[in-house]
Amino acid sequence: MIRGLYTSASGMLALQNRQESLANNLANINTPGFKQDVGVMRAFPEQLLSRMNDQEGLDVPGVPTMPGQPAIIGRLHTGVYMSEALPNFAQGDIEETRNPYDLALMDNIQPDQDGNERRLFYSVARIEDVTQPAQEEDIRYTRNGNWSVNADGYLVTADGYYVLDNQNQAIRVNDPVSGINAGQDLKINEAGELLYKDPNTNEYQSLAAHPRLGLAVVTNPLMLVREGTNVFRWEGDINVEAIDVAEANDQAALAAGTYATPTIAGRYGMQQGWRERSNVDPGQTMTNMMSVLRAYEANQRVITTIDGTLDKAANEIGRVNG
Amino acid sequence: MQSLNISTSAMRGIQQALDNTANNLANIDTIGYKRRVASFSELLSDSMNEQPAADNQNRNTPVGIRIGSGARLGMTKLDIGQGSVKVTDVPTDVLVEGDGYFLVTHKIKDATGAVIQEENRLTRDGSFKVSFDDDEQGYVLHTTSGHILTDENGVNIVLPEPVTNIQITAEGALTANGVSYGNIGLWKVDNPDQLQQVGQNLFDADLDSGANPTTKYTNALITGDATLRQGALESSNVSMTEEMSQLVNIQRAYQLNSRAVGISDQMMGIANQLRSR
Repeated sequence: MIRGLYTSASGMLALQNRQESLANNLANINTPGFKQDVGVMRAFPEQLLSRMNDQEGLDVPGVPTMPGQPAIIGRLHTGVYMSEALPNFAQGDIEETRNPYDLALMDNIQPDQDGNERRLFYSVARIEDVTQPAQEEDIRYTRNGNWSVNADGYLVTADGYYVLDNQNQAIRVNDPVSGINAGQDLKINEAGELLYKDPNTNEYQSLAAHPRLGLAVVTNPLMLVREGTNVFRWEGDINVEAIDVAEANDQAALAAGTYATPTIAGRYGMQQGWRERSNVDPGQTMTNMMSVLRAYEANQRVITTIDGTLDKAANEIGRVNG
Repeated sequence: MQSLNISTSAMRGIQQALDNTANNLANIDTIGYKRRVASFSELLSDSMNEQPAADNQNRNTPVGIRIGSGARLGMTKLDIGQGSVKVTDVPTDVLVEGDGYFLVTHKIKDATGAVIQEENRLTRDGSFKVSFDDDEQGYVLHTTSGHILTDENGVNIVLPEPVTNIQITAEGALTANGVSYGNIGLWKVDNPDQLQQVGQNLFDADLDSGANPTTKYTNALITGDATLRQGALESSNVSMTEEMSQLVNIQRAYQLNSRAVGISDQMMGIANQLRSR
């Protein structure tokens, strides 16, 4: 009886966490590249119950009653909690912005042989000294391709992270030193190569200092730590590989005849002048919120009912001339 | 309850996006106006350790549960796309085709009438008027805000007499009654994201008082990035359909977030009723 009180309370607490997660998804319904979090509810570790002062009872399968021991009733989970928020890395729909610094990333890279999901990300970083490549621990991953150019001519995200090329260098599109001003004529093709329009010949040329955009293939992206501000950080065991390295490895493996599970099994591409929208589904989120509300209400009802029973036990049992 | 704050932060951002859309729509008929596009950004995300210590099985994500803290308006970006052409046949109306801005100046005076500073502004609004200017002792081409059009060296264009028959070529050469009065300067901005809107259809040129614009900008008429067309104006690049669909989009986002506030509030009410019997 008392146990039920805490079970329901834990339910209310878990549902409150769930509501916070859903509210955050809804709040980011217009954030480009946002990936919604799905709350995972899990029962508390189960425990075995036994009957007090009674050794007669049915055997619970797998747990036979020992002579001289209390009879075991069965297993019980005494509550629920939200154990984790699983990001859903599904592709968000893309919208046209006609802005040259917006880039939508699309991929359908297949899972590896162990069934681990693989996703493509842009690499970005906050760098102190922009002339140096970003340190590995500073690199963050994002799907937000809604960029602009800062006062020094570097390509940055809305949150001030520098967009990196495949050598982990910040990309400078307006460079008064070298005289290359890609500016609004910056072109990023489907393979992530950065091009600018040569003012003399009017032809597109590679931005020599920045061969390609720093795309990374992340195996098992669920293990990425969400930092907020649209970026993910990797910690520990997940496998992050630069896409050009991965492609080169795939081709080498193909040539050597050791082509088992390619890293880039599937296609990817970039669309300039478009951006990826958040993948939050408002209908589903709202429905989930309503079911959270009702479940919360039901748990409250259970608590009130148990409280009523306790009330009887405390105030009515044993009362004379009640 | 954190979810109230989460939804409120988003609603605040959406409100600002709505303000931005309203401003775009308000300027739908402003000559040379460039719309701004609002873009949202995620706020910080927290990892909380609320689980039992024994919970280390079958996880797919790093330990802890993540609770985000909502969204904000990350930036509003200037869309410098070309607006549509509006033919007026007024000789002092000039349209910029391509990537370039007029440089216009305005003298700021103190109480005694002495010039203390000269404002340098860039504009795409080419609806100039000719009138007499006391400082220049001549007729100048000025914008509706009173800023004077400059030539290719950043010097005010002054016409000595009330000229007629003004001709402006595609390359910016200004003649009146066959007499040449110099070339109009048209400046290419490499990084329009950094342009600062200062109202009255003007952008801050970020030039020191009296500085030559060639120290900072290249002349778009010389590089061929832009040409001029006399007798036409550039309408604003605000598209009604786009702004309206954006309006619908953000209104729904606002409603969804206010529903979320409502639901969180109901949950708090329910928790409150626990001891109401």
